[in-house]
Amino acid sequence: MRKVGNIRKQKVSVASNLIVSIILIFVFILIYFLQACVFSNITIDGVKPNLFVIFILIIGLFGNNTLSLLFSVICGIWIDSIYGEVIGITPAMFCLIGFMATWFDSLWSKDEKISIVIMVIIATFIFEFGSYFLRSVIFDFEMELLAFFKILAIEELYNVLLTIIFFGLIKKLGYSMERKLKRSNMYTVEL
Amino acid sequence: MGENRHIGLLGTIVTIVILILLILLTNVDTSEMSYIKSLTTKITAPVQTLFTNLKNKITGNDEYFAQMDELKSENEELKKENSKLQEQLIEYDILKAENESLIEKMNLTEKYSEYSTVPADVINKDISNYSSTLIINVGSNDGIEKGMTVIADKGLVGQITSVTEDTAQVKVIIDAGSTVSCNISTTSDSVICKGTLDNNQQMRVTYIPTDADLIVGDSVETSGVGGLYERGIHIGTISEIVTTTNDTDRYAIVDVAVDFSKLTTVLVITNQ
Repeated sequence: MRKVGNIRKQKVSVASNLIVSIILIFVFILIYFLQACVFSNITIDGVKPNLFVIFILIIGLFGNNTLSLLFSVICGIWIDSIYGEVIGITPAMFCLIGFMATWFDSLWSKDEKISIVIMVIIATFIFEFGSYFLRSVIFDFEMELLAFFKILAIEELYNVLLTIIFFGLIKKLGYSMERKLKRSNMYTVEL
Repeated sequence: MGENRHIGLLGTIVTIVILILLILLTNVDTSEMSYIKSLTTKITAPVQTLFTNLKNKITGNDEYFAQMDELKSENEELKKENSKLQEQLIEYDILKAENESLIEKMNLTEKYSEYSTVPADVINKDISNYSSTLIINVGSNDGIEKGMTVIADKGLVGQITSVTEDTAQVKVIIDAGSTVSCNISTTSDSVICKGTLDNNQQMRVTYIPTDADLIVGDSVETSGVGGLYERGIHIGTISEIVTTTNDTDRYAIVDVAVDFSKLTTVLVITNQ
């Protein structure tokens, strides 16, 4: 009888994870098209925002390590396979953002707008600088730091503005994901 | 008796005043009195409208409603006609765009007739602010291979870096990691053009020979050295020469000929 109950709980846990993953896949596809089609044309001084950094950061903050790692790798490979010359830089940087998000979660409250904004600023900086540095090493070109920071400053501003605008939505989706995953974790622990 | 005389005089005066007023009013142009007309209309119009509506309702003015029905149906027909016309207009716009794209491709093919080329449309652009790549709608099925040169109407675009069955990725010359071996067309001096993060429409000319005499406005084209690009493809013109204390460190800025922000059609050179 207990065994049957455990199997049912395990099924619920898998189903919860699956539902969260499917929703996140849809959100990723939506973000991809927003980034590629909408924000490529709506720029600030020719600079686009980076929605993927915010997306991976949110998964790391509200989700768990497994989900964060999974999406960092999948999304990173997807982006690199379309736009990258080598596959690996984006997934590696996304993984770093994902792990940083877990660390941020232990440091700051994710209910506060200001803390989310600070996390976005740090995550954007780490991702873009890391990616640029790795590209310069792999393709052996000189880093133009002044021009890079000029673009980065605008990109940071754009990302922060978007985070502030969509803070309510981010929090709502994040917490609903967290609740679903916590419930599934509860069942997994019981197993 | 005296009181009667006073009343008579007053009556006479009033009559005279009324007469004078009548004379004045009837001889003045009515347009000059429009403010009075406007005032009176303002006062009387709402009351008149109210009464007319009331009268229409009471007497059941069928004609008005019949006209309304007629107008409604006419309006519906016009709306339908309008939507049809709008559809036709959209179709026309699509055909016009297709036609323009085909003409552009044809002109490009004619211009670069010495090369065997495959025309392509740009279907996607890089999402990053720090790199410049394009995705075009031709791939290995169309004979596209990695390393092929991509050109546009005004000059060099870049090089194919990866290919799928139906698409190909192009590393654009303005990418920060892009390097092109070039010649200054007037002096034939060999230089290296590098992409820069500073500006999306410029490249930096480096490794300028110390004895090279560069002039603003000089044309820069591919040298073919290294085998990455075909020889003699136009890149742009020199817009600035930056001199330093050391002659070996001097560099120049090239304004690239191709407007990458508006690039829609390219040609892939297949007979390299």
